[in-house]
Amino acid sequence: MQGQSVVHSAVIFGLNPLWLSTGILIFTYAVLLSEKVNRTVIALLGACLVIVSGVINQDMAISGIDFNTIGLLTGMMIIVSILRTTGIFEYIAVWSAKKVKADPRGVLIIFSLVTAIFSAFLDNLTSVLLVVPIALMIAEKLAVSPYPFLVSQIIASNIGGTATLIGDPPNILIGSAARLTFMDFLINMGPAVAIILVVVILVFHLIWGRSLVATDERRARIMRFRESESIQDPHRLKVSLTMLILVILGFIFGEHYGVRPGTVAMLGAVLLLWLVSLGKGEAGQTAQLTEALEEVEWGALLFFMGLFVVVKGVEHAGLLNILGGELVSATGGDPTKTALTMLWLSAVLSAVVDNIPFVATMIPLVQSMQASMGGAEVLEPVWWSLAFGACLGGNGSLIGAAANVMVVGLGERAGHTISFMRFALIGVPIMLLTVFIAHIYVYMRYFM
Amino acid sequence: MDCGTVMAPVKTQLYAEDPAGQAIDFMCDKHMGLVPVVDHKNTFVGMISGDRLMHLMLPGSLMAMQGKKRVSYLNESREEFQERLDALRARPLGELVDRINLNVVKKNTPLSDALMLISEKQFVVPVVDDDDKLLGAISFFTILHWIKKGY
Repeated sequence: MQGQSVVHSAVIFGLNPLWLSTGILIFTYAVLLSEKVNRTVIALLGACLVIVSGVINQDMAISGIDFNTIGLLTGMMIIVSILRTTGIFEYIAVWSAKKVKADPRGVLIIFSLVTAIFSAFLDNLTSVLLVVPIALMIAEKLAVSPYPFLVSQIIASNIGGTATLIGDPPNILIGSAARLTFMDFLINMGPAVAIILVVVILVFHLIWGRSLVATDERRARIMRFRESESIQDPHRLKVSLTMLILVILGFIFGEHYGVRPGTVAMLGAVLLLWLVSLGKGEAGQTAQLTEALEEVEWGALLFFMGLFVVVKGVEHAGLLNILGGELVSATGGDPTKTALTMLWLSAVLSAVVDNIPFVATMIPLVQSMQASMGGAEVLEPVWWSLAFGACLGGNGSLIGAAANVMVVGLGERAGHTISFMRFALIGVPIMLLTVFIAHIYVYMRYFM
Repeated sequence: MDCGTVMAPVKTQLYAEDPAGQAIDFMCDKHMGLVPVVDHKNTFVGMISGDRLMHLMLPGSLMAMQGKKRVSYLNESREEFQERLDALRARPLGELVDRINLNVVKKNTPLSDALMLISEKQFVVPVVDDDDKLLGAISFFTILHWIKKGY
């Protein structure tokens, strides 16, 4: 909506829409940061305020919602909700632990890899939700500290999620807004993520390798696990795994035919719902649908919608154009400086604020810089820098990403607490190290 | 009708400092599935039940699993169960009792309130005074017994 005229007359009490929308954005962020009010409630409240105050009207608010992102998230949530009931994730986790002969150091490494791969193709929350309980089970059986497993799971999920379009919500937002495809993400982010993962696993080994020792008798307990018994429904597994693969292929090839990821994910979800309901009566089909829909995080989807509207308000009022111009003038319009500033800025801010609202706000800001920087092609490294920073910055603190909070919760349920400071002692250096690697990668790949 | 009229007195032998092993033996001997736990001043501390003890005997990491817990892959040996039972037996009852989801009533609480609690899957409803001293308990069987006696 760049260049759209600002409708001053409709704004409540004749207030300046720029100040009003900025005030609403700051208010929304401040309450989100305070964690005193549910994040969905506050995002929707901010959205309503933007409309009621007259900064934008309802039609403009709806046009600000990125339904490609909403469709992609909803579709993937439905697919994963069906896939997770098959027991395949438990199977892979137990199988991989046995492949390293239940050596705790090997389990730490292999689980980091498994979670990183899961996180690249599923959402981070699902990945940690499925792998962390098994990691805790194995730590308990081996009588070793669960702490390295919990921390490594957080870090691996954030790194793995960086690699693909669907790996982390910031990437979905960026991909949708900048029209970057699944393959664009994989080609541009994948190599750096692979390097980062190898380095971080080496760091894990250096930090915890010596302390993770288990007796042969303890390891035998893991080797007795029967992973094949975790598969609950082989038919459902085949169908849902095939559908997941087809959806990923759809992400890769769909863009060539004008089919965007949101449509691919929703098509895959409804086809899967249909296929797993085949042969069931009406009641059975309704029960299947209800079960799948219960797993969809409606609160998260509404949170996204609310944020889109709040950001639309500041975008329409011209704030993001002003900030974009300031950023360009601060970096002198130099693409290298702009990209690397974006990388570090987004990493540091994503460590302290939720990276989803941050990226939702940054997207129109980056878009506003396009003309002054010389076009979409010049801007592409800035998008990758934003994605690297937002995803890797999540490792900087326990509140840096939703998956971090989820792992803390899972640990507490099993009686293991991770303190904010104890995590920061590992998380902050690893965040700095990984962002530094991304810095070198972005510089060498796009500016040398 | 109030709860004080219907409640049955509880002569508990289980105290918060007692090891869980004592509760396990007591429940096995008396064939009881649910027993109140008090301190030495007879202040109600909570209930200990068979399903609570079974829950505590599971691997702690299972508590991290959300939704349906599918653990058929575990294939545990008798020794592993024995280890966890031995560890559980040594823990004091006070830290094991369930008080979070447990409702208590007073003597003057209308009986219908206790009936509602029992119908909502709370098998036994403890009756306490204003100082939380345990006075008695009401269960489905207490009510049947009271109706049968006709007073």
